[in-house]
Amino acid sequence: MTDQSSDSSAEGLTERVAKATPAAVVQKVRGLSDRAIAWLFISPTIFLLLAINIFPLIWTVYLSFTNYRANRPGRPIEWVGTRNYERLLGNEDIWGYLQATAHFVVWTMIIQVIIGLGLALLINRNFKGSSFWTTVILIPMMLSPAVVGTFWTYLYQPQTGIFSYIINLFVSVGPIDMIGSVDLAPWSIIIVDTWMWTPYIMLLCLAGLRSIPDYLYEAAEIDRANAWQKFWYITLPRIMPFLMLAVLFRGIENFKMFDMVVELTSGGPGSTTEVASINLKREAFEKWRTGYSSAFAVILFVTVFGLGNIYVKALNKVKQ
Amino acid sequence: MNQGTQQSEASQGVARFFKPRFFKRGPWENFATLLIALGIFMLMQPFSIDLFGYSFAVILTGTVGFVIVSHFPE
Repeated sequence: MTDQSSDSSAEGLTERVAKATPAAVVQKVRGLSDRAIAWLFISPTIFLLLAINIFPLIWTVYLSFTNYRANRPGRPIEWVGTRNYERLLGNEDIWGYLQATAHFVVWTMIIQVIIGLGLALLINRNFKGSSFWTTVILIPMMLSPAVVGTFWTYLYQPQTGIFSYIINLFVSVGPIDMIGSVDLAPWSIIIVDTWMWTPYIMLLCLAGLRSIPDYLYEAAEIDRANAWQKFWYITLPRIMPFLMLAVLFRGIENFKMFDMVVELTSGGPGSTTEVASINLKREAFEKWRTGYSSAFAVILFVTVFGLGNIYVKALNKVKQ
Repeated sequence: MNQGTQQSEASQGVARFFKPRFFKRGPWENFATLLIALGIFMLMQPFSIDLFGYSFAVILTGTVGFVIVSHFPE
C-alpha cells in the first residue's frame, strides 16, 4: 500500500517536473542528436581528464626544459633546453637507482611467475577445498600496499619479528635484520611484493589454464605424451599470452613502486633500496629541483608508456 | 639516357616504398616493440653508462614509432 502510494507520488513528481520544464528547453533537448547527447554526457569526464591528467602532463614536459624550483615561486623561470635530460642521463647515481629498480622488478617477476604458475597448476586440479584455498591465497592482493608495508616492518623485526623466528627454526643464524642490512634489504621488499602479488599472477594463469580445451590433453594421452610433454607443448604455449599479460602489468606496477618501499625501508639503508620513484620524490619535494625532477618524471613516464603499449598489444593477443 | 633510366628506377623505388604493402602494421609494431624493449634494457643495465645515456632516445623513438605504426593497416 505504502509502496503503491510512493510509486504514484514519484510518477506525479516526474509529471510535474516535466510540465514545469520550459518549452524552449524541451525543444532544445529534443532537437539534440544522439551524438550531441553522448558528448553532453561524456564532457564532464573529458574535462576532468584534461584538468587532472593531460594538463599536468603537458606542464611537466614544459617544466622539464626549465630550471623552475617550486619553493621559489618569485624567481624567473629560465629555459634550459635539454640540460636537465643531459644531466640526468649522465648521472651515475640515477643510473644506480634505476639498477635498484631493475633488481626489484626482475626478481619479483621471476619469483612471482614461478610460484604463481605452480599455484595455478595446483588449484586447477580441483581438489577438495580448492575454492577455499583460492580465496585464502587471494587475500594478500586485496590489502593496501601501505598497510602491508607497515605490518611487514613488524614481522621483519630482528628481535621480536616472526620472520626471523621462523628462519631460525630451520637454520640457526640468530636475529636477522632484513630491513637494516645492506645485502638483505632489497630482498625484504622482493619477499613482501611476492607475498602480496603472486596471487594476481596465479589468477591470470588459472584463467589461462581453464581456457584450454580438454580434448587437447585427451589427444596427447592417445599419443602417449608424458606429463612434461603435455605441459611443454600444450599448457605453456596456451597460457603464455596470459603470463605475458601478468608480467607486463606487474612489471609496470613494480617499475613505479613507491608506497610499499617507503613504508618498509624508505630507500635505506643508505640508498640501497632507493628505487627511481623514491628518488624522484626526494628530488621534487625535498631538494625542490622541480625542473630536474620533471625531466626524470618524463623519462619514467615515457618508459611506462612504452611498456603500456606492449601491454595493450599483449592484451589484444589474449582477446584473439 | 642512363641518367633518365636511373631517375625512373629511383621513382619506382619511391613508389614501391609508399605502397600500402610496405606500411603493414604487424612487422612495424614488432620493430617498435623491440626498440622499446631495447631502450628499457639500456636504461636499467649495469654494464655501460653510455648505453644508459642513449636509452631515453631509444625508448622515445620506439614509443612514438609504436603510436604511429599502430595506425597502419593490418
